[in-house]
Amino acid sequence: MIWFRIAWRNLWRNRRRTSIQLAAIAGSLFLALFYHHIAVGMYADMIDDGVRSGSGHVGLYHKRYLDDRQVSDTIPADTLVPLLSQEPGVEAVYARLNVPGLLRSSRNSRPALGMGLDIAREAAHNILLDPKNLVAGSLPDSPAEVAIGEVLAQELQVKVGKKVVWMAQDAQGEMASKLFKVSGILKTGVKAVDSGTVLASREALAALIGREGHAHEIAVMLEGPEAIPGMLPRLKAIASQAEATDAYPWQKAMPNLAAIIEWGNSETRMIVSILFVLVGIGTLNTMLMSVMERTREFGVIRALGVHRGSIRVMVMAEALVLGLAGSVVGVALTGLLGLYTSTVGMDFSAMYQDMDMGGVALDPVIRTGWDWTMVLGLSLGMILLSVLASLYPAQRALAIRPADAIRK
Amino acid sequence: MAFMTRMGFRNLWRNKRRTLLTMSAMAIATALLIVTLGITESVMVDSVDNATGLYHGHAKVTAPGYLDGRDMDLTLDAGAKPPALESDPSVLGAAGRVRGFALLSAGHDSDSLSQPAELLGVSPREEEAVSALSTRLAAGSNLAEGRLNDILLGTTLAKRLGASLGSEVVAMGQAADGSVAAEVFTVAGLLNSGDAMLDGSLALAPRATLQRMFALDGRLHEWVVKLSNPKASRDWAKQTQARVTDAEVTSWERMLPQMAAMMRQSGTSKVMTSVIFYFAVVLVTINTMYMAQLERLREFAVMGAIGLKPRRLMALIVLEGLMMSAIAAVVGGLAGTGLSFYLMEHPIVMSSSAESLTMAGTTLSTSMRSEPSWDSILFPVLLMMSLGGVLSLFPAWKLGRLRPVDALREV
Amino acid sequence: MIHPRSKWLMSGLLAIGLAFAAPPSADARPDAKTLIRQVETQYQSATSHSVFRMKVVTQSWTREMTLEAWGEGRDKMLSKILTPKKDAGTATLKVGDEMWNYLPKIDRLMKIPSSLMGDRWMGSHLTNDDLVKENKVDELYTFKVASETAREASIVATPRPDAAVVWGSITYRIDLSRQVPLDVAYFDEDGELVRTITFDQLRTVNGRTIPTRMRYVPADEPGEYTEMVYETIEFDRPLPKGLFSVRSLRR
Repeated sequence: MIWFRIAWRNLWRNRRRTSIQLAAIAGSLFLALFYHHIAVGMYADMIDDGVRSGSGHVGLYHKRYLDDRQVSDTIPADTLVPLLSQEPGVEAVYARLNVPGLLRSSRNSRPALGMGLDIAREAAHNILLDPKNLVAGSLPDSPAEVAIGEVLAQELQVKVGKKVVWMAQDAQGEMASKLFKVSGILKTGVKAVDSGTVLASREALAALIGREGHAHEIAVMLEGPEAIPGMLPRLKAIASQAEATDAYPWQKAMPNLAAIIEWGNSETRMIVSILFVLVGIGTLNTMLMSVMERTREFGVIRALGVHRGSIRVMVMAEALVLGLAGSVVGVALTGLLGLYTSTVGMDFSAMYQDMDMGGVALDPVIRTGWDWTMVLGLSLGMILLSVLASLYPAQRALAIRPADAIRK
Repeated sequence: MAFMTRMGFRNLWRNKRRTLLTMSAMAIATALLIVTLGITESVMVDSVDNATGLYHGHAKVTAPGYLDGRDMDLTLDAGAKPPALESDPSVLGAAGRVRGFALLSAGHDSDSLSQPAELLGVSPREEEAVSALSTRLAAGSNLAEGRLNDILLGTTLAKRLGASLGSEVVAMGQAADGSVAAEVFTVAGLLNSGDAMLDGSLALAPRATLQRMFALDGRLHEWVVKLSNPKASRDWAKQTQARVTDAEVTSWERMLPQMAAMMRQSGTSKVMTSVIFYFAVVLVTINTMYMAQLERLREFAVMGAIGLKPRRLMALIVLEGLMMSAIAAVVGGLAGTGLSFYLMEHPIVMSSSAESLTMAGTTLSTSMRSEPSWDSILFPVLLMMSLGGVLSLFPAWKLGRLRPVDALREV
Repeated sequence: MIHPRSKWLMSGLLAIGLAFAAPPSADARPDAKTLIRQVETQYQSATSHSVFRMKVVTQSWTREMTLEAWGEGRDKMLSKILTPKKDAGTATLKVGDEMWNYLPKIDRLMKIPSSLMGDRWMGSHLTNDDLVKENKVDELYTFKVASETAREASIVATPRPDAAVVWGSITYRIDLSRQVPLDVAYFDEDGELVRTITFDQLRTVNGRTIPTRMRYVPADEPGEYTEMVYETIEFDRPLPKGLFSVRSLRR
């Protein structure tokens, strides 16, 4: 403990040097962590959006469905959904149908993907159903209504309130058709959605394909991605109660999204490593230099009869205190800024203002995340770096005879 | 001035270790900044390349209105490449294509699965200059001159059709004269572009065959253009449009507005990365230089005490800072440029899957490389050069105000 | 789902006059619905064999061909192109809701998937779907006589509220004296005309008076139309067994 007191006193004595070192450590940590947290935030958003409109954290499917996407491979949603909803740890359950077919108006016909959703249940959570995507009308609120993409509406020359006929192959492969009223027009900026999506109630599409109460996909939302490993076995057990049904984590159900996140994570790791090397070299230099300059001081102390080993411990203690203090300041800075950037977010809309966005709506706000592993890891790294960076020059300084050192 | 420079050099030389430490930090910071800027730039360039390089191209020349509804009758003369494309140095290549929709099926069975697909009629030689599709062959071989009934299928499309290499595939559609267009092809290769949409719906066949099949002899639908600078495709399209009559020039930004918007969004994260890295470089330089100068306060004070006028002392300090940063900037600049070019040639593999990734129309390449540009090299170097001088101003100013005696005592 | 235009086009393809071949009842004039239902039932029991010319005029091209067609009930139809030579032998088979094309050029059969049902049939203004759809007009519409003179009646068909029908309304003009349709006009929900089919050139075949020319005119494509003219047509002759099979497409 005495060493820390001495270290503390030493550090206080040379405030200017100490503050530079502190700034180096804290600033470095802050920059690296901030960068990482931006990436963490962006990818967490991406996963969240992805699982919300896709498979959920865990998705239940017919065992063949993910490979073949056959209309006939449905699972009994009306029996599974209540079971899943009761399960502790399950936040929300969405059952959906995907039926490819042909949408017709009196003017035209276009191939499209019919999405059957429990709209009231999903409206607040699915980004596709976000009211700002509606350019006209409202979301379907009865099985007799559909919302369709804007391009589709233009091509079919229909408006809100007009009728369209949806034609598709049912589960037996027979042609089936049903009349709908257009309740709303969707514009998401995503071409596939705007030119090829028909949003209907699951009830209506299930009846059309002759599989009442069924779904192709049951998306189970958990508290977060980290809850998946714990919940998966229980969800699989529930799935096994239905014929040929299984539960899959989102990475299996949406391999493309998983691969993109994996790509993003490795990019982030790489950039953070470069950043850490960069700021680490700064810190390393600051530490090296400050100890190097203390050759004379060490000489004096040794002349007073203090052992080399003790000086070494003292230097180490100083570096440790510096590293700790710097990390605390750095993490605190990151945390404080993070409080703002994770809730309010950083608004980049000004950057887009003068640009022609081609009618595409993007969220210009970036929100940062928080990753304790990285916070602790990088802090430890910084502390280790500062200790090592002071030990080496201390060793060199101590190799010089005290008399020569004082003269320097 | 010469005296001052000599003196500055001597001062720096006297404490080699400290000077080298300071300069190495600055040089490494410069180098890493250059590499990082190159990497973030490459992510954007690669995304554009991947999104446009396979299928869309950087720009297209079509009959007016063709891209709006892809009306089969809106064609251009296949014999005459627009002169605007021939003489333009920013055009790296142009390929004429015929596009048609058809129902494909494999096998003779009347119940065999059939799938709607887009048939792209290409000339293999021209295509090589504009599209990387031929490099995405998962199996088999590419189209070749003279093999008129070969067809390349997207892997997913082939799977849905139940077709494999050597299978016969029948295409049926409507020809431009209203007659039934039909043709039998042999699957020569399977394409795995990584783009789920292309892999599930695209088929490539020789242009001459499709011209015959769709009754479009001597006609084609579009010239696909590869530009030396895809980021400038919008301006290029505007300029070229002015020189082209009875044809429409469309940039990839207009063909793929969603992609263009995504690019701008990744522009945001590029800006963030750059800002943070610039901050990091400034932080590192401030810390090392300030630390170095702090340790030299006494030295400076001595020089003041032996009669160096405060203004000259200040000038000396700034000059020393500039000398260090200039050398560090040049060394770091060279190292960074070298590393950047190395990474351009030898990308780091990022993803375990061999294919590129597509989502919502954006494609990412699976390896990370660097794309050095004048901006990404010059800015860090200039920044570092000026940083040395700017950061010396503060200690210089402080010392200038300090009486030598006090300065001596401070140490 | 029903596509009402198919009712008339199918009847055109199979045996146009059949629909109206019922002898007019001497005293009581049938009400609108009965008239249409008669059309349905009589049409179902028929077989037919015909040769007709089809002319398709679009803004970019004009095409003429001759086809031979066989029909049985409302579910089975087979047609083959006779001329031009380039397309000769190209055949379409419809059985129930399913449809195949046969292409002699490449000697292949192709089943039409649901996603291509909206495509043009043989380049005409008919879609594949038009040929496939069932004709339950009387189940899907309510009928009202809009105007009536001694010679001619105008019947407005309005889809029942939940009927899977894209039209706002359909107006049939019928020649009452000869019990043949004059024209059929299709309107969207705003009452705008989408297309018209006209019938003329009456001829008496096997004791029935039928129009032998029909012309389909889309309202929003100026100058475009598809016209079918019967050269020969005969009814209720036994057809060879196995005619409506994919195997016979090749022959």
